[in-house]
Amino acid sequence: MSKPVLVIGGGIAGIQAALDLAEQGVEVYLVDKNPSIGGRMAQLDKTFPTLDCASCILTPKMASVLRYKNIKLLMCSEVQEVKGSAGNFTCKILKNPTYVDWDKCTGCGTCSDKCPQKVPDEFNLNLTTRKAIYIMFPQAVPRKAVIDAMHCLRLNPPPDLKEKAKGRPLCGVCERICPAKAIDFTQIPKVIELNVAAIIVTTGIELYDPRKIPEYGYGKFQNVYTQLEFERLVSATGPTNGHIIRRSDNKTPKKIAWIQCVGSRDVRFNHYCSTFCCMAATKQAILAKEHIPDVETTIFYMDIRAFGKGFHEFYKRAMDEFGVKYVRGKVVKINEDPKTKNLILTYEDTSVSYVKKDVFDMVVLSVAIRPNRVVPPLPLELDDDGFIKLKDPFLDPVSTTVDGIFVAGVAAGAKDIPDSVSEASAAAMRAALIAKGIEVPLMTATSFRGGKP
Amino acid sequence: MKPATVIKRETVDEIVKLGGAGLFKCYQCGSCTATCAVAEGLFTSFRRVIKYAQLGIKDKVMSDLVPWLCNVHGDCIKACPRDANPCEILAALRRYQSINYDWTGISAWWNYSSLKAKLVLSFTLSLITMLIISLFHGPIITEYVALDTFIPWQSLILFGGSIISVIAILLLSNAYRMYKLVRGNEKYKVGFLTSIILILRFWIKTEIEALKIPDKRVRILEHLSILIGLGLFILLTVIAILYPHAYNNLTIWIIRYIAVGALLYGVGAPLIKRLKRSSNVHWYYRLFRHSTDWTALILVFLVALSGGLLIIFKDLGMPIIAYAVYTVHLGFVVPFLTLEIPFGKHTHWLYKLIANYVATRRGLVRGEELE
Amino acid sequence: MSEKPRIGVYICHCGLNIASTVNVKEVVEYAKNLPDVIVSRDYVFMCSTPGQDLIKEDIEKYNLNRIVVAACSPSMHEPTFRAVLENAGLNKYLLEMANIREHCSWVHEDKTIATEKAKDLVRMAVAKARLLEPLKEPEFEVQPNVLVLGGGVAGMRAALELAHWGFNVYLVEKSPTLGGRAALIGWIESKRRGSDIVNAMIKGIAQNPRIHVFTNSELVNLSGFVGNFTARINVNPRYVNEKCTLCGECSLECPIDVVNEYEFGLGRRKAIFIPFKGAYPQTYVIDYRVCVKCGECLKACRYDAIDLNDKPKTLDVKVGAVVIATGYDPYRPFMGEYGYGLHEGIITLFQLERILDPEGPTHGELIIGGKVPKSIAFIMCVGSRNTTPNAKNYCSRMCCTSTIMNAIRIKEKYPDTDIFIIYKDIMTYSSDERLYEEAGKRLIKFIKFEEPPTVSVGPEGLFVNVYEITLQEEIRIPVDAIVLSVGMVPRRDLPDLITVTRVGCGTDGFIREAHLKLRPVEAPASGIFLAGAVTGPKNIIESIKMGSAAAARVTALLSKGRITVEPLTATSDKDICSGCEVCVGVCPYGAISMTEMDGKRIARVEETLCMGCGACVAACPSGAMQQKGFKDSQIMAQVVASLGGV
Repeated sequence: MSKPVLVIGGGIAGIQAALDLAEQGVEVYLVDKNPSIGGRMAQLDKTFPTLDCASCILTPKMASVLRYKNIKLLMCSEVQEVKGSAGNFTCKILKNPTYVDWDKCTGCGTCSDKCPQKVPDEFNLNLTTRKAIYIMFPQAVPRKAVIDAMHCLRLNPPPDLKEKAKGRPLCGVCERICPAKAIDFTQIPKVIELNVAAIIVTTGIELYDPRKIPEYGYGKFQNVYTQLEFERLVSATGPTNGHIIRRSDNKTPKKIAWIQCVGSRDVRFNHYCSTFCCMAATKQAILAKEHIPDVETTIFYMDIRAFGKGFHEFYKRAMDEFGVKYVRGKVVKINEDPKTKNLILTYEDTSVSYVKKDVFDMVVLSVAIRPNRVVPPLPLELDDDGFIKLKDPFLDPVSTTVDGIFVAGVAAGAKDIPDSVSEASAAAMRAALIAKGIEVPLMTATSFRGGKP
Repeated sequence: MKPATVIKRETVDEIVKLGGAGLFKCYQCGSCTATCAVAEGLFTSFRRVIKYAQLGIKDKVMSDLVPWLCNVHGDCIKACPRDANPCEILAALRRYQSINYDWTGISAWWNYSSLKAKLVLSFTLSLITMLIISLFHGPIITEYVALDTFIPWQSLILFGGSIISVIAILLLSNAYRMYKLVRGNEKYKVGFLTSIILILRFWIKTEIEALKIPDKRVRILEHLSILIGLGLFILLTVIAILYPHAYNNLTIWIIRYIAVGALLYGVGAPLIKRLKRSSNVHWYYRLFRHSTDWTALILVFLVALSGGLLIIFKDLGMPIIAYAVYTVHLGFVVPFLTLEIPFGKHTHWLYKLIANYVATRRGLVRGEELE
Repeated sequence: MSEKPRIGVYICHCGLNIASTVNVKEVVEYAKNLPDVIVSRDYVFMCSTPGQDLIKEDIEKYNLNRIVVAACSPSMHEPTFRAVLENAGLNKYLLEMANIREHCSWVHEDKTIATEKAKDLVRMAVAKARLLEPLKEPEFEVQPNVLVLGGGVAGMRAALELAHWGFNVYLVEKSPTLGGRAALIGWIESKRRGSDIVNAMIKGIAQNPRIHVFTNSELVNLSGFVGNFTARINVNPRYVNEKCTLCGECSLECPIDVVNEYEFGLGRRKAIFIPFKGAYPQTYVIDYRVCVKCGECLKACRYDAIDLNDKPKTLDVKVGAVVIATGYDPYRPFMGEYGYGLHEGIITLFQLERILDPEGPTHGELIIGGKVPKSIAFIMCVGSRNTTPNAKNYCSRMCCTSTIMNAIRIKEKYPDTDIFIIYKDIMTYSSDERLYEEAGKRLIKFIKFEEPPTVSVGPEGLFVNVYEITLQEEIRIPVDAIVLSVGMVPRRDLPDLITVTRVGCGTDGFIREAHLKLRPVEAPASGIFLAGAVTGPKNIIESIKMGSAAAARVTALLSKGRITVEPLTATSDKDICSGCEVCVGVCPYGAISMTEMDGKRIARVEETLCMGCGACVAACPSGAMQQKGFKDSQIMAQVVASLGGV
């Protein structure tokens, strides 16, 4: 007999933890604020260094989650309160209304086709639009529609239209055409109370806002992208169906630059290194070469962090086989040519020691990552960089400062996918022991006291 | 086998002591150089001399002229992701280099000693001067202000001239040492006339660029004021020698007061801002923390202030006070001339000139705009 | 086969992986016209939920009884699609996959040719699918025991988690003590050393009755299959028993001394020795490889703790899973590499760890080559990143952080020491970047190279010569000591382990995991798990996490008490078998034996041992031996289809 475990965050780490727990015979509540699990990995095209298609390796795991009867998904939900202690946490989960009855919805997508309201699509980093009623992405798990209440004409009518309608409800197209009659505008938020033995936090990351570093012109210059936006551009399921074309004129770029350490390794913004962006940029440069054979790709860096398994070989391959150029020098400002919308980068090429300016058609910023905010409601301590603090990285590597609450993945610090998956399994092991009511003796090692330190 | 550079420890310690506290924070990203309006026009980088300093490669640090090309705009401070304050590191390098250019050792003392010690020495010299004047001054005429009776211009020229000659010898010999160090071993790449044109173009362009930014505009105007004030005073002196009776001419009078005003503004405004910490130039307090920065301002301000007061009292026709102020003025001029100009921060006028000249002739200054 | 085949064909686009080279729609149309194909569809990601649902719905709607999925390699998604069939009520072995990605779209550029080939592959798959038969997966009970190879931090962590769960753990360690490399690391944080962590873990292990520790032991044979392995462990003799009081008298008398591997070569030890202070078991041990059995120690021991007649023992244990956590070897520079071995002042990073350890050979005093150095140069990437022709082609991940940590440590205690770190790239990833910042505050100097530095050892002393890339200058640094920041390499004895456990290794020489991104702690072989630096360079924290992760995966596998195995095994048709016994000798797994049945002597395959390699099938002269799922008739059908038949 065992008590359930709560996993907060349905990205790859959360999915791995949930699968491990389920296989260990523990009941899992997997909570995510989005309508689908998959997290950031679902937004990637390929993964380094193997150049595996991200969806190909992720979607089967997502599908497995559905297969296990003891994994209960709570989508569009947020944790509001956590009280209690290891073995006995009481959690209040706010389940936001989807306005669609998911028991009836088949994920056919008809509602989406006919909905009149276009809204910027967050999954595609606002590079394209979705409808007010939408399915998050085609391979979503669960594949169910959800209504974005704020932009729905029925649920949140703009004042002028509301007046004109004189009190009559607006639109309602989706309700009329849904073949499963699944639309339900009367849904309200629900608070679910759960009693769980342990909690695993796998809440993932967001990107640091590059507008906070105005020298790069993000938001002003159309052809400056973040790494994640470029990833969507290059994805077959992305806003351009995998064609790399510029926002300003839909032309294919001939010269693309990646700028590393934008907001990372910087005492003015974030001290830490975001760990995977060097490899991600290398990967994207290779993908660009695959999509556009004669494109020139240059990566501007301070140190190329190719530290993991297969990374150095990948980096060498990019240089030798694909001809990706690497320039050691931090780009400090970007200017735009108002006619062509090309971008002029100013940097010092430290290998020759003078300032250079170079023109590129498209620039990709490797922006720092930031952990998603989880405190409050979770009673956890954060470290100096805002990531979840570990109790003892050596003796209790996935435990937070609260007993019974574990953390895995980038919520605890920048890392790549294999390390996140590894941590997720480790957290599942610890959580499962608590769930089964097994007492685990504490391991402590205090400072070395003998001899001269 | 290429000759390799050898590393020396002591260099590093000295530079750190001279204010290069952020020296080791630098991880050589090149942001500072890339941001710098001046560096953009050069075929070299000041990041490199910071690296030389980090490693303690003494001869490279000493013979590098790039620190003198700095116009102290302060953009690098904002751009540095490690908060290493490159501008101040360059200032420390300039102090280090000045110490090395100077063969007397006085510059070393000047740069390493505390503010208190420097002021004590300066005011001691002032007092001695004022004492000598009070003992050996000429007759005091109380009907009108007769400055050249109080101190005959011949004694002034004799005394002043001898001091100035000594200073000039020291200055020029140090400047020559600097020139030899920074000149390098290769033949000059750019002709003399071309380089003069290049320097002027370069200077004017970078300063005009800088004028667009309000923070820098103020500083440039302050510097410009000093130049205008000094220039006008030189003009007035020449006129006074050629046309001694033109003193009370209205135009001359106006020019005189403009000069006084300009000088006082140019040296007073920065001092007051620094004392009140009221400048809206954010980086102001990251720079100019060294004691030599303070003496540079204080001494020149005292000279300008006392000089301005002298002119005012002369025009007001208050002889006794005028003579007293004259004494004080000369008292301040002496340490300014003998200590600050040859050994303090003010040498940067001369060193900067030489550095710009050599840099241009060596081909380190870009002819065209960097596209 | 009784019923008529009703085949559903599903072609995957795999995003653009397949669709950019193969005209999927054309293949779909083609498949529709093949005999017995009832429905033919395509989808962008067949393995995703909507793709899987397509298949499931069709099975129900059209009463399909055979499924062909043309997509990526079966090694990726065969289990996924098999599960779809099962969920839809079909036997999961009625699935045939056609690999039109790795075997087609990824290896051809000409779209016409690729599409034709894809059609051929689909036709072949359909031909086999017609002849597929439902197979039953045999179910076995699993052994609730786990074998953990390697007593370092990763292995110990895995052992602890597994024991807590309730498994019996056999923790097998080759050296005479638990602790591994971490026990020898001087400082892992400002206040704790590697051995502090190791001691805490050892304490946990010693107090746990479910963990059976075998030190001085090796795995010599592993047979069986997932859930039911038989592991043969050789326990080498210690020659010292638990009466040992650690007095050390024996060591003083021993005439044999060898290089001390527990100080990474910085000194010598005797043949009878204790590896380090916190070693577990807490007894001395005789290194049987160098002991000459002179008996001096026996004479010296007052506690009757030495038994020179101790014999090696062998035991067989039955385990359900194996965790391989055997770690790494530090790269050992060859004689003369960066001057190593030519001067006492040139040491490796691991040796520096020992020197800085307060329980090390210099009691924590920074004495290198007999003196306290005033200046130290750290040369990075020694043996890694292709810096030299003999260097490995990967980055060893932990050396940058370790070097900077040690440099800061040295500066804390000896602030006047000049430290130069000569690097290629500084790999202080994640929050380790703050260490790099700290190094700046401590006035540590960094020199960046593209071409590796050279070391000159001469009468004027030690010099490091390097071309600094950001200065574009050759620099010559006089130093008192040089620390070579060496990386991690696969253990020298890894090939033996690979032979015994039949895992594979990658081009870097480390053991390869099942999937680099999503299955980092599993070996491709079922039931074998990996933790720590055995798969590639890792730091201590990462190794410990992997130990926990491996334990989680073991638990996931074994927790239900039973597992099912793929039934693609060989069987012999008793009516055809002539009893020639050719198959018995051919089988590499010893799975075939002869048995009496109806008065005839025929071959019998033990299902649990059969690995489905097919050697016996190929060898059988009468065709009696057939492999389920790969019958001759099924394969012949594919061959005929490949030549254009249906």
